[in-house]
Amino acid sequence: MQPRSLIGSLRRIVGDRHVLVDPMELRVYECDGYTLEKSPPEIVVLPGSTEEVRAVVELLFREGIPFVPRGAGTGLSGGALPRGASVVLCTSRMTRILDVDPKGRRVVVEAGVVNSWVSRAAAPYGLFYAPDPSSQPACTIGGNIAENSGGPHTLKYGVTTNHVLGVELVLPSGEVVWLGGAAEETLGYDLLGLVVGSEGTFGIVTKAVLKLSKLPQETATLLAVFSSVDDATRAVSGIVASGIVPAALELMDRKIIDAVEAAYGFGFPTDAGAVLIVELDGRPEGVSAQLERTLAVCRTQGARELRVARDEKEREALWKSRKRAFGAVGRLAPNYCTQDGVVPRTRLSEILRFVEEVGRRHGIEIGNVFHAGDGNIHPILLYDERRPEEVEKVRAAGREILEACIAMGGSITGEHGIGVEKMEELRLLFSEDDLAVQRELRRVFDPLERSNPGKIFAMPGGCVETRRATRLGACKLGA
Amino acid sequence: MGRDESRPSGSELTRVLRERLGSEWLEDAGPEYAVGPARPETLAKPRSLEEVRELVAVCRSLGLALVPWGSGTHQHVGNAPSRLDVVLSTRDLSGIVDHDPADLTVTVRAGTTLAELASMLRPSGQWLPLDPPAPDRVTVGGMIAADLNGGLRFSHGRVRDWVLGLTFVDGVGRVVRGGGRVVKNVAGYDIPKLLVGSYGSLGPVVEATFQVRPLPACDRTFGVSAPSLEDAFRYATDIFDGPCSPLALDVLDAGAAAGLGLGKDPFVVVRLGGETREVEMQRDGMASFLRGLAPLEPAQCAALRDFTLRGPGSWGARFAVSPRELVHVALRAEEEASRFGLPLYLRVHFGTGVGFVRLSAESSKEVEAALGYLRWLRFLCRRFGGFCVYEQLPADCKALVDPWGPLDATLELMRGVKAALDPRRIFNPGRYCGGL
Repeated sequence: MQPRSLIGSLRRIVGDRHVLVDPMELRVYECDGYTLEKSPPEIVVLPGSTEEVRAVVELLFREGIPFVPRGAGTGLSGGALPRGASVVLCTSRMTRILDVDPKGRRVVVEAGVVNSWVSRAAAPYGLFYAPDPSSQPACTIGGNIAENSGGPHTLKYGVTTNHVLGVELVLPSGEVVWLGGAAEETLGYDLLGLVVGSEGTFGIVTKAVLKLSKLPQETATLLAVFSSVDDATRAVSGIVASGIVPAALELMDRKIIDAVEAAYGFGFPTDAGAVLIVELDGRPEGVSAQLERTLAVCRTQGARELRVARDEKEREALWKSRKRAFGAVGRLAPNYCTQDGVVPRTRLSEILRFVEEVGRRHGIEIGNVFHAGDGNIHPILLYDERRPEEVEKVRAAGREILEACIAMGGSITGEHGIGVEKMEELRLLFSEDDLAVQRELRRVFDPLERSNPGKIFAMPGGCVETRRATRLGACKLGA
Repeated sequence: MGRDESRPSGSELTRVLRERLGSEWLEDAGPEYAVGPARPETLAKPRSLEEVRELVAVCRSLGLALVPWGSGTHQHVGNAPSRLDVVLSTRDLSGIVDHDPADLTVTVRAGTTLAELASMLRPSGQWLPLDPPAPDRVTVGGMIAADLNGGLRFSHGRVRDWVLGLTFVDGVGRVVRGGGRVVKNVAGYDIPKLLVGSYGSLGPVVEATFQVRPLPACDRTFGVSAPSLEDAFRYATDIFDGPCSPLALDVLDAGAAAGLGLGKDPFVVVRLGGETREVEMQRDGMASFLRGLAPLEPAQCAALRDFTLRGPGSWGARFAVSPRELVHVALRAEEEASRFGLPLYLRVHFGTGVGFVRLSAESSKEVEAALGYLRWLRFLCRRFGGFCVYEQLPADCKALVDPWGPLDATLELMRGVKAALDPRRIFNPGRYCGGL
């Protein structure tokens, strides 16, 4: 099929306005939150329902055209980068909350529903949706499911996979299946568990049943200021060792504090080495006992200052500082790249020292804002994309950091996914056999690798081949 | 699936197997290793991952069928395997591999019992907050394979929520590692999820890493009788909607309560944990609207935990529906049992939509009634988005009803998974749902 007639067919399915082909409009889709690589698609399709997704996918399947599923494009590993496929299927019009069931503590949503809308819809019933990635005002549930997203509160509550009970999945053939549902278990293999975190390589999720949690009766949020990152990480270990599982335990280092302060003026001491944000929640009696213990641990580890949020407004301000940290970094450099390694909690200070050393060695500025409680680091590497040598340094430094995480018994990604960014490193983490099994499982769902090709698995020569195979008609974009 | 007639007989193959692997960790399997009508000839007790791999590789090349075996407590579940030659016991694959308390993770070999794991974690003030039946016998590998959960799922989720990573040997003879050893990890597909509840149909789990938690300072279980099952659900709903955060919240019908020595009326069990003061205040809060709320004895708690294995009645079924429909389904299940003339014992994990029924049926008339009842129950559960697995059935009934129940469009995908990981169908052939 020639591109023009393909576009015509797509328009007949979703409507003229919902097929984008204008190069200016397509630029929005040339990358996601991972900006080291860009590749504009040729066509973006915005289906409005499962039926439209099904019809579009079936058409693409018949024509042998791969596609890239996309939510809000906030992913940080290039999962929605249109590399290896020139059609992007974006769920941004599928934004209905279909059912809120406070009794069963369930909600059914379309894939394009924004993460924070779910908690907003649940709040009148005293419930909330626990996974809270920093991008939650923008990122979609479909994207969260693809990436198995985390967030600060996943320390206590678990990541996306622990809160998804069912998905409606459009397979790359166009067949629609439900995996899981309103019941907490299903019969047979846990295919749902496999699909969550599969980065769009099993098809495209169109609906989801999510589990809601009861809002805690009491929440205490604390800011602890330390002279050094080392003191702060020792406090992290101390809190965990004292038998407390905080709702969240976040660390920001000096560079990030400076950026956040300059951008928003939250009143952080700018001469601090690191701050911890600790949140405890639960029953009032339990929270007050744990708060006492937490304060004691922080004091022992040399906290210079301890501020407990006095009301919801102060609490929100603290969280705003944390969740806007990435935005604030924009003031420091034209571009930045966020790493997502994980180490066992006990190796935190070691990996942070290593990150610092890597930055020094490569002459790159690196800030740290991360989920200290679960050992999930987020070094933010600053660069300027107009200077190719800086881009190269950032890639090299990122790779070194991830290799160190592997060496410490950790992982290369805690919540951002492999995408295109960490395909090489994945091979350091798993054996050939492990990866062969994963690829075989992918082919169970997607035998021809049409859904999000060229992601997760590095194939010798594979990406180039896919790219060549998928150009629509006359090739107008350089490979 | 019948044997290939041109192949040498089972005994001949067993001889070859032992020749290839030596006899140090292979022996004749006793009758206790039968799974339904299938009687294995060989009991293999590998002592290392490498020996597991060798065993699988040789069985694969000889076409011998294997059943992974922890302590055998749940081997009654599922179809009878169509072939069975070798039992792969994990008995000699036990113990902790790695536990750094500050990391809140533990890596353990599959043959370790849950009681052993608990006693190794306790000195560090930690636990794995899962409570399947018979922890003194159930192994880590068995818990994963049979997805064994208990009342704690109310607050702490299921096995799938606690396994961070695992190592297993697939039917191709590959050592496969999935997940990792850290608490947060999205590198590659979540293979561990696939193994949880796979009933040994994809290969034996050899080692697993779990996330663990600090032990609550105080952990106490209370119970109260209710005049009717409806009232019991009303109590549970009040607790569920109220300010308490129980660790577990179970409802028992009169039969189950009586069978567990908890009186002759329907019963609500609530387990509370946390700081001592937290537990006391919650108990006081509940006692104000639940007259007669009293602590349970440890023996009663243990009997409740073991309900699905050692509870009254010899038939057992597990069901799951949308939690919104649970009360309706449970009340109907109770009502309909009396219409079928069957004594019923019912336990549900409130708020999760999961429940268990046990039945007594001896005479042929009762057996017929029990089969009819279970068919009806499955029908009801399916109508409410769920399923019903007949976990304990007399052997001769397995041919009359499908222990698992029908699978929908996902069967094709599941066949694909089985074909990828066990193409020659050497693990528990025919045992799993859909005949996988």
